[in-house]
Amino acid sequence: MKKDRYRELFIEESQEHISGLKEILSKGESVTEEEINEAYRHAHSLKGMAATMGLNEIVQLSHAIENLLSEKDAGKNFGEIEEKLSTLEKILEQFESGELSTETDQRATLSGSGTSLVTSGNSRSIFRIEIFFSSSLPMPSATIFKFIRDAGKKIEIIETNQKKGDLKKGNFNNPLRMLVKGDISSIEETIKETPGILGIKVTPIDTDEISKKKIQIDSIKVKLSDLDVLLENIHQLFRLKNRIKPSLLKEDEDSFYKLEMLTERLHEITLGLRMVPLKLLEEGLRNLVVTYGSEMGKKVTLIMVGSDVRIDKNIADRLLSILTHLVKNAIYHGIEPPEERERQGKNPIGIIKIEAESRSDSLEIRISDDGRGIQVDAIREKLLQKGILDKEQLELIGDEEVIQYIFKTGFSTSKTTGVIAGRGVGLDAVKEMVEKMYGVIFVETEPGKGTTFTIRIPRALIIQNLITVVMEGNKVAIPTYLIEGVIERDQADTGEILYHGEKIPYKGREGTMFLIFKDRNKKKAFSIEEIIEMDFQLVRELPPVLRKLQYLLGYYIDEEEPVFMVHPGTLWNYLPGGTSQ
Amino acid sequence: MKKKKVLIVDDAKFIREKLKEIFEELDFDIVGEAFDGDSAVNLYEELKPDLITMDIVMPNKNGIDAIREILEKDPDAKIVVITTLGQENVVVEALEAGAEDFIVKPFSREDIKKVVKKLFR
Repeated sequence: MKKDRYRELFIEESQEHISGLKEILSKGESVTEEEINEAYRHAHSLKGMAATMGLNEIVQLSHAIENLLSEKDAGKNFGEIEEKLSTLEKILEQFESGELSTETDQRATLSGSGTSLVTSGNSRSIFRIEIFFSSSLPMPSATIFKFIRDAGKKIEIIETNQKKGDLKKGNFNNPLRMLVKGDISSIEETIKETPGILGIKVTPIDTDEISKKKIQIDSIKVKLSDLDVLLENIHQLFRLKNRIKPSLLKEDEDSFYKLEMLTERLHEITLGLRMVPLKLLEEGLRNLVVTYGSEMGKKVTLIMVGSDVRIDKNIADRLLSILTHLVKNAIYHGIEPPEERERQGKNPIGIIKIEAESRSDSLEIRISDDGRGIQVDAIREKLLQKGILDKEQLELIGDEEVIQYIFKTGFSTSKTTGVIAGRGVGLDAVKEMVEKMYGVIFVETEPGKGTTFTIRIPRALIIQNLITVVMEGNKVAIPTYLIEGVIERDQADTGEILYHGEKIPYKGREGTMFLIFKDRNKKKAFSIEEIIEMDFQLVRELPPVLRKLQYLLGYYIDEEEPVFMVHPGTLWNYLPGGTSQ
Repeated sequence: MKKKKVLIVDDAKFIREKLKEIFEELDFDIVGEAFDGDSAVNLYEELKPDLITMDIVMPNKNGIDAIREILEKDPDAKIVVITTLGQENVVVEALEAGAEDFIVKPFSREDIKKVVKKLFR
């Protein structure tokens, strides 16, 4: 049943791509570059799907079409493309009618050039290869073991989803997934010789031309500051909606819920616009691995998995500094010097892997290394030495708990901390940064095998440009779009100040400055003592108990303390004194 | 061209006969037969065949140990494991030890031919 469903889906989707292609071909001379790019994508999708189905002929035809489309002045190839497309269509029809069974086509994949789907690959490219094996193989584990062994002689295999110990027990994963580095065509022979391969899927995972092409044509450039303005306007819309909620609910409940839905959707979309692929962090991290690695006398490669995951631009900035610390930490503490690795039978080149995974409500990032792991005994000793825990306490807690102490402030097992440049920040700071994003971090380690840090941060964070000030002794934050300006307090206390020739009321006794803000169309001022910063903050929703205080809009965390975001106009009404209204 | 030499190792006579028949058809020179691991190692040194077919479960030294010993003496030796279904763990071990490939019993002439073709391309 399941298989039939895939088959149906495959046919249906293929037909869509074919008609998409046809439509573009029908434009003839008047075709635009963008349309050719679109056609290329149709062909590429066809190729990928056919490869997974093991329909080698379709793979080859769509590959040929791709090539014809990527030539300069592709319009001249339209005749040829049309021919290939009609052959392709016929094959698809045969497949649909059952004349072409997958069985025969599987054979074609096996004996034919099953890897012709590999279009590019220099010695430095990294690919994810998925190989689907037939369930009727007599010895799947041994077959997979042999395949990995033989392929490993020809190409660098970074990782696989099979464990040697499991394979020995006859446990295997189908499909076989491998991350390989190098020219994939070098393992074409090995693939052909291996029995029972039903299909192969190859995905380049570093910045390859195809994905670049997609990004270029699917996107336009927008200034980030424009998006911030848009977002701020949406926040105003939110507040307006909440203000009219009571009256509108009475008069027209239906419209209110529609309005509510629309504002939320708008908010969601706008937040989405600020998303950037994690890929943007990749280059910086790669450079870091190379330079810092050589500084430390270690050989390291970085693998990034899931760099398509999209995160908010501001989260990306913060994440980069967290990842930088953790990667440095892995190189410094985790990865052994090449000689030591060789002595232990490890590859002299250490691997640091960053995997990102987008979940429904959170983003999970794992940074792992294949180094020496965290020495629990050293931590225990240090905890004792520093008097953080005593002997009895230490006996009570297990290794896993002990390890989490590396995040404790002032804790460091390195003998040379502070001497090495860039080691000024410890894991306690990393933890703080994660917690500022309302995230959690934890660590797992296995002696001799390596260490994995897992970070989980909520996806839905509102990012707002806030000015944080001290007002009557309290730190508060106000959205910058509500701020008119700041002036010195050098005027006599008359309950009013002059601002650009305009008399405006103020409140607050302390302070050396006036913060002028807009309340609807009126200007008002608060007296403030200090401006702390003006920056984007990740604002969280208030806990239910605080929602009744109308002037509170949310809060963010600074140095483990919450700073409340206030609505100045509403706060005004709560404050005593001054010339109100 | 000179005929390739094969040494057949299996404790069951029936299998040895079957293999002999197939290898003769494939135009191999069957230079020897062994029915246990010990004699396999000795015969290999004496005959230096181009190919060995190796059973795994045998008396007096099993196939895995025999593979290890032979490859220690001659890392270029080409060994193909002939094994029964259900012994997947030992097949993985044999591959790890350095066996080139494996064939599952019951085997056909085609199965053998395919593997041989791969090895002597």
